[in-house]
Amino acid sequence: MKMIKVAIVDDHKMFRDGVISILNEVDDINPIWSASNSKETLELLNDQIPDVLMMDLSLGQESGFTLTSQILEKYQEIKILVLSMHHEDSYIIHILELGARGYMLKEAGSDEMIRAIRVVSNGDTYYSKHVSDVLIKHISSGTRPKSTTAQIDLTKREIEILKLIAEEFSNPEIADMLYISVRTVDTHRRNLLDKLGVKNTAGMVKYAIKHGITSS
Amino acid sequence: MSMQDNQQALDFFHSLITELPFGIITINSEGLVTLMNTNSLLFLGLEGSTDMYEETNILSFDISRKLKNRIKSCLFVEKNPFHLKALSIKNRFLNVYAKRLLDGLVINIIDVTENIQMRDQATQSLLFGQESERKRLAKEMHDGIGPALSLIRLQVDAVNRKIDTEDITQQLNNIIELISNVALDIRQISHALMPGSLIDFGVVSALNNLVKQLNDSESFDVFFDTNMKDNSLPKNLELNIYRIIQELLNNAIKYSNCTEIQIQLHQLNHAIQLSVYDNGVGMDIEKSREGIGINNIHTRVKSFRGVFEIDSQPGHGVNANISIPIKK
Repeated sequence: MKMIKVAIVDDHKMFRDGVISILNEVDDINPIWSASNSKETLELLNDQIPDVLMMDLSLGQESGFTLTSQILEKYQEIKILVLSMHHEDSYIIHILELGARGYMLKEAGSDEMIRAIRVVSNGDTYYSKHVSDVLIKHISSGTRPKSTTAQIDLTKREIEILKLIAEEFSNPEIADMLYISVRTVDTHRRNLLDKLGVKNTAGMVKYAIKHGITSS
Repeated sequence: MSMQDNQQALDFFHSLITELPFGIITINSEGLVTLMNTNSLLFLGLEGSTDMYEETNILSFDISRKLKNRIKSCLFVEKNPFHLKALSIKNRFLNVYAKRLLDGLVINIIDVTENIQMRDQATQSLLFGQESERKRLAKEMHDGIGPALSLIRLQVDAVNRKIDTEDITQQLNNIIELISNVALDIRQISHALMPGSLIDFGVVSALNNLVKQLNDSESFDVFFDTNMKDNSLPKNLELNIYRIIQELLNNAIKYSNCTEIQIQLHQLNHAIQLSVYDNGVGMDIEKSREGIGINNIHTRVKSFRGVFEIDSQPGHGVNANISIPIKK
């Protein structure tokens, strides 16, 4: 039987010890060392290279992202299995992009942990159910949520104000009509200049006419 | 009193007025300036010297419309004294008091810019303190209690494997389920206190996550549009932007009964602009102003010298716009 050499990087000693005691009872898994930070990890890697390295993303003041990049730069053959408390997409996508081979949530039980170790040591990838849901969505729709339109996005209020500017109303007049302060109108006006990339009122009026943003 | 005494008294009076640490302007019943000191020019941001303005109508000055309106109504309509606080005029904040004097007005102007700056700073420190405490608590739960629960779960698993009595296995499975529920609660509370992605990535990632989560679980569609990247703003501002949007979303979710919410977050040359609107039933803005949520947003926006505007009409949803100036 081929033994899978596993190393554990986690800043909680209690958690490391717990995982080791569980893995010790598994016939084909051999926990070789554990570390609590980047420095220890890189030192231990000099002595003994694991097949699978289980890593937490939050390592106290340090980040698992940086450590993952450091490890994979030198030891491409190591399979990194992330064991994390984080459910948010950003963590999952970022660490997998960096080259981690699996992502498991810490709340998973020991059966899942053992299965994940075996799967990644075989060269496959392993994701918890929640993680694979996130990935499927990421692939099918991209990470960005649906956006309204590709053209310049003016807010409802900006369109309203642009309309009034195009109809030659002054800031105080617009303020009175919309029950807002002149300062607010002025803010909208400056935002509009920025957003439309025009220099002055004439530019805004031109844009409004071109895009049919007038009420007449 | 002799002529000389009179002249001395007048000179003394004039130098007193000039040296006063606040601005003073007197006007007659038609609004013509009868007396003003240099501080009043300085505070109002007017060019030139005081004699250029004497005998001219104050309503023709290049000063804030709000102030002119108050002076006008005080002179011609209600005749009551007025007191404008923290009026924003050309980079300064002024307190302006007007009182009747003979048949005209005496206007006092006090520069409170420094006080306002200190107030804004105090507000921001307070908000920042709250956020630090939230972050600390969230971290404690997420990085302390969370892993401890995971470990308990693993230990119970280990025991479970050594037992082949069915009813005990069943009981252990129940315990495991309870642990999972508590772990979920801890995760949700920690996330509500401070989303990890807001700290580890930035406001754009955190908002993307929030929007996705809403789209997955709620019956309405949330659209999010931004031209920004994570960490392009100071952390403190990013935190505040996130909280503001969160608050506006909470309002929409709780009261609007909408089918669609649009969020825009744009970095422009001089400002961050954000808007949230929904297509729900709308709300009574005057009433909501008294609510804590809207008040919180006001406080946050004000401390960054921003503009917050919210309006609504029955059946036409709520439209909130915020603009926060940024230094380039």
